[in-house]
Amino acid sequence: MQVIGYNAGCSKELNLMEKLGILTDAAKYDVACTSSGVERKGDGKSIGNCVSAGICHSFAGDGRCISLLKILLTNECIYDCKYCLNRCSNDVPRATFTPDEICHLTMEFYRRNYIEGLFLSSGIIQSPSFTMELIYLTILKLRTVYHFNGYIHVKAIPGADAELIRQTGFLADRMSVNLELPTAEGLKNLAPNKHRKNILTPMRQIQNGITANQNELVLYKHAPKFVAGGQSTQMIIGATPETDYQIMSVAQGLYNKFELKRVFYSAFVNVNHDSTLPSPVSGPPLLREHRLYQADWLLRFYGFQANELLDESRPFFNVMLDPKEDWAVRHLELFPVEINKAPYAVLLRVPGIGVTSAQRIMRARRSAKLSFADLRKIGVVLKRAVYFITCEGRTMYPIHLSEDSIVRELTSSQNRIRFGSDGMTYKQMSLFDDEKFQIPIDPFEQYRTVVGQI
Amino acid sequence: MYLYRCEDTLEGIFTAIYRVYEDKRSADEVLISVSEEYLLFYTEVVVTTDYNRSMKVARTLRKKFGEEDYLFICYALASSEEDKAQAVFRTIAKGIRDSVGVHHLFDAMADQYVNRAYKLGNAASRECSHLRGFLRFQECEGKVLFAKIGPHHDLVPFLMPHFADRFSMESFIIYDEVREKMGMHIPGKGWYMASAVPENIEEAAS
Repeated sequence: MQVIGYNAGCSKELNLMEKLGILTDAAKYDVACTSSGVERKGDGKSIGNCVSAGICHSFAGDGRCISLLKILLTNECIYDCKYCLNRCSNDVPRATFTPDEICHLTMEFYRRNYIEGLFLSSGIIQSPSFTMELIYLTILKLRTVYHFNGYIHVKAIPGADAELIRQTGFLADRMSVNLELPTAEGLKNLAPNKHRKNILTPMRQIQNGITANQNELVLYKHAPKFVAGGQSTQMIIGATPETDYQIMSVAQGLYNKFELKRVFYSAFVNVNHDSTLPSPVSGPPLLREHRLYQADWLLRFYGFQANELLDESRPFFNVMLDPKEDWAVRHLELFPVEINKAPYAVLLRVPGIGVTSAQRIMRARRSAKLSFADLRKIGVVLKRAVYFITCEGRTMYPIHLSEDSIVRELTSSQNRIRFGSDGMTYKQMSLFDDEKFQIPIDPFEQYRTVVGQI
Repeated sequence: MYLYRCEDTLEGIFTAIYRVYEDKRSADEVLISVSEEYLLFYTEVVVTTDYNRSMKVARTLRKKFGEEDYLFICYALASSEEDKAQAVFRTIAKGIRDSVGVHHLFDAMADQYVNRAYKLGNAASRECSHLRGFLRFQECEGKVLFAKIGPHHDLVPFLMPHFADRFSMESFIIYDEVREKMGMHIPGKGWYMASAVPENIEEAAS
């Protein structure tokens, strides 16, 4: 299948596979990859349904699990954002899909059960509204002509016409607008064509649309759904000098004020080698991204506030301890917690007890008193929790409830290099004390973070 | 001590449970087994599978414990572990004795049998989710989609409803090569199970 690109500036003919190669590679910096939050049964007239848990399907080359066909409509772009590979001043091969090509690809992948749905983003051609209209027409075709009933995640283009965004919202399951950078100054420096107001306006519009739609659905069950899977956004970490505390405060504000479903953090990868951008010796800040995701989960599922985890005097996350352990060690006056009596909210704050374990403990203790052996069966990570809990008044081993001794136990010996010269006093370390200090992330810890069992 | 020996199918195990309650035996003196192993000091009772009785048990379980817990019991019984029948039986007996109510059958995770049944069900349910995500179809002649799997648990009956709903307009076959069973779906006519031998696959596709 051979189609010529939209812009007259590029008349090279590319076949479908070449285009797919260019445009999926260009989309990989958008890290939203979930397909959860929407439950919709098949309707017998179209192909597809949605499962609320989302189903992971494939692994990308760099190890990320993705469940959607993640593509750009086009990687032509009129903007010149300093961090982006596809900025107009870069010389990269450009390609554009036609709506039919996108629909055809989506349907054939979906029929063979390779994907859960479609993730469609785009570079900006001609203007934001023009691009948004192309996206809208593609999704419309997919839903009405090809009868696709699976999951669709669409990027809303900041600055596009409000009516276009509204119409797209009735066809898509999730919409997102990239915040790009946590603060307005950062955005102004690195993406001069993008303005904070242009980004926040569609987010507010989508949020209001979702609320209005939920009210309509109460009155009329079969009203068309508007963005049933909610909104999400993405921030780049490490390109600008914001602190972790600032980033978490922004994320908390987004969750509270814009009612977002997810905030994604993307470690900055210096693809352009631009002199205005930082170029860390040790590569992209992956540990920092990992800590931010851990803290993000704490905000959403564990009832923490951003100012409990960090504050002005300690604005960066601890390298050696995850945010929950770090908080617990600084608040030893609240521990130990009695497993058989403590309320759910208190159980959640114990390191080693995640949401699943806390719920199982609540259910199991209705019929019997729990002992440490029972906790192990339930799935509590006793290696961490044992310093913070009692069962029927007793701790598992005699423990010394002091910050130094507990941290010494919680961290492994290889990482225990940040103790003072006497080898006993623990100094709180932050990520920016020593740039070269990087702990490889334990894959089990990463898995546990994702399933909420820190 | 009584050993109720039954067939390794859902209907077989449910029939055995029916028989235990029909014979008014206490849960502590009964062992339900799907294997052929002989045990000393046990009086053996051979259970012939009775579809109607197994359906009665299924209805009672659904009513007493709810659809979600019932589905979890079915997952646990799809496992290939030998002690699955005993673990599920003791879980159900405890649930009935303690009148746990709907959605609370697997609460008492401290109990060894409930824990075991839960772990078996969880393993099966996880593999099912894994298969839902990673099963791949290839298109054969006549636009039939064909997928081959080799799972640890007997999961084709759990996969078929999901794919029948998702691909309601497609004909597809999911073939379990370990158990030589397959599920077939025809648009407009629903899905059904059949046993399959490798040579028959190509015929079935057309």
